Amino acid sequence: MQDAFLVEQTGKPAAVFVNENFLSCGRETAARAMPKIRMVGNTTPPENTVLEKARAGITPVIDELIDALTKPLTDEEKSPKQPVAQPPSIGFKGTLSEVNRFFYTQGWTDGLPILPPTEEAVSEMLTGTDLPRDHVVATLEPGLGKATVEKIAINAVMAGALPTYMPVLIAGVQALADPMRRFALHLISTGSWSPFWIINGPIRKELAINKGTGAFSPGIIANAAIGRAMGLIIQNTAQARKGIEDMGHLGNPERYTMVIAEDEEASPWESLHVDQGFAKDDSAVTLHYPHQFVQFWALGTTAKGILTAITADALPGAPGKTCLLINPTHARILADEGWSKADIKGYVSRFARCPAHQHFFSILPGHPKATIPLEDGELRSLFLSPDDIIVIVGGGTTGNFIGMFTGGHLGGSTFVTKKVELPQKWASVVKKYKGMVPTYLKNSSLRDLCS
Amino acid sequence: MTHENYHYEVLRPWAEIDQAPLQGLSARLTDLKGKTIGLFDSMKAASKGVLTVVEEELNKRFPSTTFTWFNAGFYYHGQPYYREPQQQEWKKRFEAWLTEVDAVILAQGD
Repeated sequence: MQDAFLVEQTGKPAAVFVNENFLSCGRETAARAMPKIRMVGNTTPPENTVLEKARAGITPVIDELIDALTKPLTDEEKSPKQPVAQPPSIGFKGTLSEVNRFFYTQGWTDGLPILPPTEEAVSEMLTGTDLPRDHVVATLEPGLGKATVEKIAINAVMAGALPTYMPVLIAGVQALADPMRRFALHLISTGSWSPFWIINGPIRKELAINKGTGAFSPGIIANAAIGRAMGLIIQNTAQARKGIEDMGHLGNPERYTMVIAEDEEASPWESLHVDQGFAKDDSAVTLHYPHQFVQFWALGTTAKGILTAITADALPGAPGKTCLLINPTHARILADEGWSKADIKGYVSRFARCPAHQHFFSILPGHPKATIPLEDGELRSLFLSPDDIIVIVGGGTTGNFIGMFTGGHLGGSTFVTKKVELPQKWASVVKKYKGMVPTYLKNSSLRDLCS
Repeated sequence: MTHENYHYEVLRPWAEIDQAPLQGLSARLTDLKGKTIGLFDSMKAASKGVLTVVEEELNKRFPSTTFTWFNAGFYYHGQPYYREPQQQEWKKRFEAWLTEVDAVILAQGD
């Protein structure tokens, strides 16, 4: 829609053709800038490549299109009514179930029950940061909502987060706002991309973030609540509503939470945040925005078996930025056979291939490699560069599986890492909340979360 | 007092925005005869087909009208155009194209 606004701003009339299912999305976007921009809905299917279907969708609305460019403007179209100044932060008072019902019907939740963000709870949450509550950490598209420290804390309370998570959440918002992340594209896309948060540094232990067995399964508050809090922050600050701004048509369950601490202690290599230019003693958050998480079996407990599985299981239809999750056992095998992270990335980017006619870039319009020849049997690399891949270690030592988070590439985006800044009284905040883990973990492979 | 009866006074999670002034539209054309119409191709899969049909249909009604296409492209000079300075170059190209047209039809969304 920005392009249409620019047309009108240069004094030329514009008419915007959209699939009828995108009309509400277009109108909501326009409502914030140029509410009366003329849009014509049509029934051509999304992503249609069949000319006759385009003809069937467009021909019935041609007269409407002509009107959009020629029918004289109304007074409202020439000079739209300006919005009334927003009321101050309106609260609500009610029982627990009334609060939940109200928040849900307002579209402020993820569908699950929330903890009520009372002033008391939010004030306690704010002990996790020294930043003033009205400090704007970032303004997030498409809604351009201001992610103040207070709003971050309110959403964190709702998610069931602890105050010690605030530094991670603030760094997470900074990562979203980084221009190299192209966050808004991933949020509103029909592709239903999902944020994946990777935590490094000393804060992993302080917050008891799971790096091992079952890291992505439910049950550990830090992994659950950090991801959930970021999801609510995104929802209530970027303000992309399902079917209006957020056009992800299948949706993605990973949007509830997808968080892991890298297992730096078990890794034979430098950790991700060091790869990204931070000091080992820094704590950091890296944001990746993949389409999907897949798990697959290694084809042997050798470097060849592990790497062959990765190249065989890379998905041809989902290229772009990819994170490989190597479990500690496989990482040791690879390192003992002389493989560095750079070696792995180079090998995978070179040998993860598919036939040219199945290759994503053979159909992506405008891409410099879109004209690759379609010779029978010709194989093309799925990855443009080893830089499209990051490698992290984690996920426990109880199995033979490899993880791959793949598909994030919109708008030339990349992995973004932000340092986690701590408040002055961090030690006392950590001490207050440390050790809050399920008691059964003392007898499990996750006993280190109990310390 | 049970939690069912306790009343919580809660804060609002929805972020405030700084609303910029809303903008009106440019004057419309009196008709399309003899005009140059720009066709903005967003480069999504459906865009080319939609605009091809638009051009055909408008040509039938207004034979004196000419059409010029703009391919938005995901990439410009081999780099994603969302990145600076590619974004600025793209914008200059788009603005230069706008000076050549009387009106624009944009195929947007997927």
